Amino acid sequence: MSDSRFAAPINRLIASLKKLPGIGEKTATRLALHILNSSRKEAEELARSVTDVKDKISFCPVCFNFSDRSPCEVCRDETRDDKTICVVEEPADFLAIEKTGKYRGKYHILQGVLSPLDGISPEEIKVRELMERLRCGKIKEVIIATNPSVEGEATAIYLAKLIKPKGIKVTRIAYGIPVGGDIEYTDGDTLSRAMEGRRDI
Amino acid sequence: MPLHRTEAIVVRSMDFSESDKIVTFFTRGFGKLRGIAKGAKKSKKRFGNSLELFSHSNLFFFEKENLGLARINNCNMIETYARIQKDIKKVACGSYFLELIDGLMGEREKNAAVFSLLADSLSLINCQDLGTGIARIFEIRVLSLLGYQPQLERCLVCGQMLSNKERFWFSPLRGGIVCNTCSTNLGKLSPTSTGTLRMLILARDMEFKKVHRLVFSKQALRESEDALTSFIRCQMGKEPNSMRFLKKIQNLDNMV
Repeated sequence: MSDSRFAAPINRLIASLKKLPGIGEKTATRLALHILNSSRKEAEELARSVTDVKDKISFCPVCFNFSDRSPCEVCRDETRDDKTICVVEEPADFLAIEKTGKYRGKYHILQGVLSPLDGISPEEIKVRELMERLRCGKIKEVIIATNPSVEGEATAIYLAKLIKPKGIKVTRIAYGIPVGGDIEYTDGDTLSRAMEGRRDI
Repeated sequence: MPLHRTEAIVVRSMDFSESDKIVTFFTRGFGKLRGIAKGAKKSKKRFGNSLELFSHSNLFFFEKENLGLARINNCNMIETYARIQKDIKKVACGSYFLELIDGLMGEREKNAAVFSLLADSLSLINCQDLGTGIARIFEIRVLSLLGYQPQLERCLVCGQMLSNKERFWFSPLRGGIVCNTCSTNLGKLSPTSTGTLRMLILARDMEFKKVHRLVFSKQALRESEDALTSFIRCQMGKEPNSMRFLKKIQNLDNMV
């Protein structure tokens, strides 16, 4: 829905911004007017960063994270533990784990999760590539950090079934009550898993 | 804007905007119902895992006039069918049930018998090892309950009753069996033995609590899968995604 009171180039910008996730008509208009009011240098910088990510960023051939180098910084880093691989669904999950600063191993980004309803089978995500990485015999542990959803859980079990026969330790991130959470308002399923996964203090 | 309450099973769930989810439920009282759960992605306290696939809960929702999308207020969990997600084949099989319901039923078509069939079938695959025949049992029963029941007792052309003496074929396009004499020039047909047809009739008519006793022979499994899946493909106009997925992972061990 374009507003005829705006000139066509503004409408085009609004239409492009509206395609971004979480951006509606009003936010798109506000952003477009902001870009229009900003300096030419700022606008050019924005345009260049958009084209740059498309030109320079590709998937790391080892872990399948977004990277401007091949292999990526994490895969290259020799100070990281190369005997452990943490398997996540998306690059955003990698970022979340990396922000904690608690994990110093390598990663593998599946680029999705098994989903029968959407027809996403093991061939559509990076399972085969993960198995290739494990073939070198250096890996001692695979941590599966897919989401605790039905699809994430099923993917974790599927991967464990494939990896365990190779004699590699497979672990799943813990389930439980979030820090600052409230036991009273926690759902039964999470609570029962938290009880099952309790540990010594 | 009254608050409605009904038993519901999550059939599909997708993220919407920054923090919301659009969820399709199959409900006992309102049929297939789509609703928006505000803030469901950010806060796990309010909905917990009740918006996950297969979740069976008591659903509370508001309905605004002239708006197809219900506003989900909250869900009280009845059953999560947690053991389904421990096996990818069970997830695929359960997803197939959900996809059939989603594909074969229109919105707000109330059908309590189909709801019970879905809940009972999910419960069965949750509790027991996946019998290979369960998908066929669900297919034939759901087709019958929704008015798509294929004719399995007599030839569609001449009306000859099912018997051991005659050879029968299944016609997915016509939705039933034809005898050998009438089978010429009828397009694509699958050979279906009398034993397989009797098995399907039994799977359709017997009490649900006894169906787990049915043991399909290899031949019956192959023939009934051929017949029913091609019939469903004709009815839905496409091959269900989860059916394709199920076929792909059948050979799980040889994949890598």
